[in-house]
Amino acid sequence: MKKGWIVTKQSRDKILKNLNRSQVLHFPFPAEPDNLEKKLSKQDRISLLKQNLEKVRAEVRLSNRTEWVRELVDIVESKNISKLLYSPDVGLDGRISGLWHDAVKIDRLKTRLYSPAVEIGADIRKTWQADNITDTELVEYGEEIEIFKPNLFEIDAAITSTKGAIAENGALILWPDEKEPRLMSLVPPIHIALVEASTVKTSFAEAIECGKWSEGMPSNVVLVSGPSKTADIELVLAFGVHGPKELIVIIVD
Amino acid sequence: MSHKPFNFRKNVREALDNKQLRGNLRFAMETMIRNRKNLFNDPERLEHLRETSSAIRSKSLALLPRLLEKLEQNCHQNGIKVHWAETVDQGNRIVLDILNSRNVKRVVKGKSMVSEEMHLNRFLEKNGIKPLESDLGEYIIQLAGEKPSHIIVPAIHKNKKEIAELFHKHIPDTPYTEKVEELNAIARKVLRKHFYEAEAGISGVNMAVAETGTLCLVENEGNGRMCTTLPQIHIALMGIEKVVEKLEEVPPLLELLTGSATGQRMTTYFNFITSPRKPGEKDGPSEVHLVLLDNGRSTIMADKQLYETLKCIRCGTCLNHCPVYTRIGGHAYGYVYPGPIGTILTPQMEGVDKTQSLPDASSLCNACAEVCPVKIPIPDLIRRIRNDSKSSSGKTKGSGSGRSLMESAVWKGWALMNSKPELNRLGMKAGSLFGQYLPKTGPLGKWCNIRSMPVPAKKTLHMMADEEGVDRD
Ligand code: SF4
Repeated sequence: MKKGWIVTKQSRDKILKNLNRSQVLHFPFPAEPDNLEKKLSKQDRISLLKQNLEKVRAEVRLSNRTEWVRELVDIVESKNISKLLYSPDVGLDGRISGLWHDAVKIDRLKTRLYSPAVEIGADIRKTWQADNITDTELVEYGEEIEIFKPNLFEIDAAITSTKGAIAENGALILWPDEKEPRLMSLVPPIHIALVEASTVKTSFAEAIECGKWSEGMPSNVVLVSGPSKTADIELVLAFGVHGPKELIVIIVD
Repeated sequence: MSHKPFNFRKNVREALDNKQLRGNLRFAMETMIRNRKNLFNDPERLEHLRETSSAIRSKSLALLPRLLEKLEQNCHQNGIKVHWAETVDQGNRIVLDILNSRNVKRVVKGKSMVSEEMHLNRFLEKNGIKPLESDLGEYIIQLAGEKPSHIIVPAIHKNKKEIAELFHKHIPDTPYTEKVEELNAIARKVLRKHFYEAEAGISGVNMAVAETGTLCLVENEGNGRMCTTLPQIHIALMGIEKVVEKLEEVPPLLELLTGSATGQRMTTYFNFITSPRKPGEKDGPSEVHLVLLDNGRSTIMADKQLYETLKCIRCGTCLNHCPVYTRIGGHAYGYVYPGPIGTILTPQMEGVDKTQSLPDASSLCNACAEVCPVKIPIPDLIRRIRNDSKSSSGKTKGSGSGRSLMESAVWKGWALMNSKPELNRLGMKAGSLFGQYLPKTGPLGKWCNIRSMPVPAKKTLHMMADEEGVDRD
């Protein structure tokens, strides 16, 4: 490896030297990235998001903070999902409560966080235990992928949170982390995603700007627009090629 | 492919004789043109987007060395290892070293034009590793032992019958089916097993963001996410020109890329990769490598006109709109990059002496320049490369090789005729009087095999103008 490294270091210096020679170019400054100004109202954002997601064959359900679990039960029943992958301690604004807990620890504050947030994991578990409403088994992404892999490939569906969504693009913003690993939204044939209505942005540019993405990106961020698809054979559009065959979005208002 | 002697004219002849290919292509290109047009239905907004994106790409190139250093530094901080390859051979060796030193045998690959440029698969196979292409189109042509014929839809030259036969023949226990849904399901099943077992994944990069050290990958199928997330090792290959400075520059480029490529408002997945698996995270590769390939790009950058070639975001729309590509398909170009972009990029990378008549593969109709999302003046660059190929003082690699006595004589004659109005008038008149009686033998006869010969007008424009009493001054 050492030898290899020296070679690429030499190449690096040579490439950069070559490029530096060519710094004679004039360039026009890019126009301001557009459409930050044309923000839509919340209702318009949600209906545009829904419309764009449906165009790419995603199923969209509108719900609220108390009833969304019912929607979920309905989905797992109607799709015959026998194993549902979920994260026990993730909420729609899990990150906020996480930060809050850290702050509480540091300042030794006793203040309890008033959180109207949807506690996705807790709500699911409560419903599952209390109502005995469905036979669907809940599965956690318990270990690292090297160990969990055989189980992951047996899962029928996974439910994840989202960091938000982009109305114009019909896209969800997935922000995987320790609690919700990257492959939850990729390997199982059905992906169910929860979107909090207030986090729906008009444009991609707005999402980047408001979320201050440039100040630091996590290991992986994925924009998802619909189930996986291909048109590689005679341009015939077909869904569910390598990723999920179905994307179901529950918008919680 | 560049190892076989390249004979563009022979390739073109064969392609034009292939009726099936011409039918497949025409249908596909018309569909892609229509989809793009439907999406970009607001000409003003499209123009604004193209202006912005063209400026972003120009700026990125002007700042290229600085941005590359910044990208390297930020990737390094994030835990992504950056490698620099001046040549294709170096690039291949870097990849092989990474795989060998970790004893990796099972490799899955996402779509990457740079890997095609490197002939990476051939190189790895010679060294005992056979990477499996996982993009459906790439998988199909890998089964067929062919090369991509389009930079966005690599298997566009194949119809479902041919694909059905390929699957039936090469995949064990696969019944013959022409149903596209079923063919997709077969590929899904086969490839899932490979994703599951793969120890390393190789991918391309659509753009990299210097300020955060982020690699961006655009795709519809999910195979790219599989390749970059499931295996322990991810190796990303990127041409050095693909870097932009800021995250905020990504949205306009993305919108134009997906819209120009397939007429989609958004691809299914837009993947931002900023680091390998961090402590506490349960998946993602534990190593991410970025291989930056030069392969002649830094030399192209030195030319004040030709550098614009490197603004390209590989959307492929110039192929779809090109009357030449639409008729001959990608393979006839003989190199990895076909169509208008190939016509300007390949001669600069390989040398005009090797690519010979490739710069002639254009009618200079300007369709490519009108649709190019980053406003590369492709026809101007083609003209420039044509000139260089004929002139020993040209700056393009291999310049001056294309001079032929006959051709220089013809062009000298043309120049003379056009500088002397009397001669010109005489020539035009002769053309309109005798042109239709030209014998269709020799070179002209061959030319007419696949084209109808234009009949010269009975009267020259000047004759008509005189008759109509138009004042010619
Ligand atoms: S040259 Fe322009 S139109 Fe052609 S592939 Fe590149 S960006 Fe697209």
